[in-house]
Amino acid sequence: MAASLIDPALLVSRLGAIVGRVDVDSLESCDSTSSELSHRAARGAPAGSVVVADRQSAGRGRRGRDWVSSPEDSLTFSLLWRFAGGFDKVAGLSLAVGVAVARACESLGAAGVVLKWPNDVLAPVPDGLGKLAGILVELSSSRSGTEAIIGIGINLRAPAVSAPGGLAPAGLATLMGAVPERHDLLAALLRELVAVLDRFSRGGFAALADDWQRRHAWQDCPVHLLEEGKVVASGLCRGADGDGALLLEGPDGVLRHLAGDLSLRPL
Amino acid sequence: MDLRKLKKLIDLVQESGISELEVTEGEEKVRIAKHVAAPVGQPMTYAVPAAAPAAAPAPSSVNLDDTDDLPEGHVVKSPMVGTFYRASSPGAEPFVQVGQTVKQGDTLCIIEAMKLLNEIEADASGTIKAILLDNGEPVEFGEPLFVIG
Repeated sequence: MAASLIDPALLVSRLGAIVGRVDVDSLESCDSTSSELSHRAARGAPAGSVVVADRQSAGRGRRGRDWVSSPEDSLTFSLLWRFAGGFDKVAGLSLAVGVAVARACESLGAAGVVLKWPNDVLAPVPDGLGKLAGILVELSSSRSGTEAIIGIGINLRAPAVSAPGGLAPAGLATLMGAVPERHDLLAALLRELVAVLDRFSRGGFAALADDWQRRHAWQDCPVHLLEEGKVVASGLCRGADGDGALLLEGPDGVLRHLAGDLSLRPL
Repeated sequence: MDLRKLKKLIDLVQESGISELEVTEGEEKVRIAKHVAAPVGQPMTYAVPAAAPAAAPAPSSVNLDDTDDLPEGHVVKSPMVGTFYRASSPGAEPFVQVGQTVKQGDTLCIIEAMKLLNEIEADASGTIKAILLDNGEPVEFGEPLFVIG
């Protein structure tokens, strides 16, 4: 079997203070890093377990949207984390993960990384903003707490084709002037994820709301909120509250929303 | 309105995120309000009325008769506000069908809120007697989802 693109031994030396808090397993291929990690979690894998794969035969986006990755041009991995308490304690987790991804990119010198509610990581492309990274958080809850499988896919180079109807793709290479070294990138992501998840465990999303808001792509922009392709609300996008709920200002004032997809409303 | 029903209503308000519930039944009307002390030292920066689907449900959405009509068995309730999905992705096989046997811990559905996909597991073993929501419907906190008999 050919060696995979991530060498855990090389990675360890770059983890700094979080050595021992994450346990990275690198696979050449698997169906989906999140599915693989979910099986391992069921068998008792500890929090901080990470599965990174060069190739996913069934990489998953939200609600069955495929996440297509070519090995050299993207980095896809999943991280297992556990929280005390029920689902109510993890409101806003997908936004918090977005903050971690943006901070990691910034720590490597990528400028202009911004966030779109609830969990898209965007970056400048020639005609506006493109999608740099995708985040998929899957939760399960039991009496002992809530378990999160955090799946992240990030483009090193923007793929040539964009998803139909979606945002244009963006890649780190354009933002940084060169393709980032994979071990540096994964180490930066894991360092920021551990830091952000520690803060989240202590103070919930409220502890990270300012960090999110500072990078909010569409602050005060007119937007539509869509569910299943239908516009359910329109207004000025005022960001997220301390629970991570979207704040949309319309004729009836500022309303909170928990569901839907945002799109910019043409002026 | 009998005491049992009143007690049920009070429990419903207490367990939920709603602050007030008014139910009219014939000529009888009952209003139950939950008084929550404002947290000290946390000034409100803006007044944010909750929007659908986080909105306080209209009394009609708390249909007690529906609950009374449920088949006998253990009712699995939603632990959160969100969108109800019966399968892992559109076009995939639903996690469960009526008549299917489930064990405690089996995944019954997914409820999505803010792009967090929450797998809801059976908290009892038995046979699925009823599935109370359609795929893609909004769901409230404490709303019955399944009956396991």
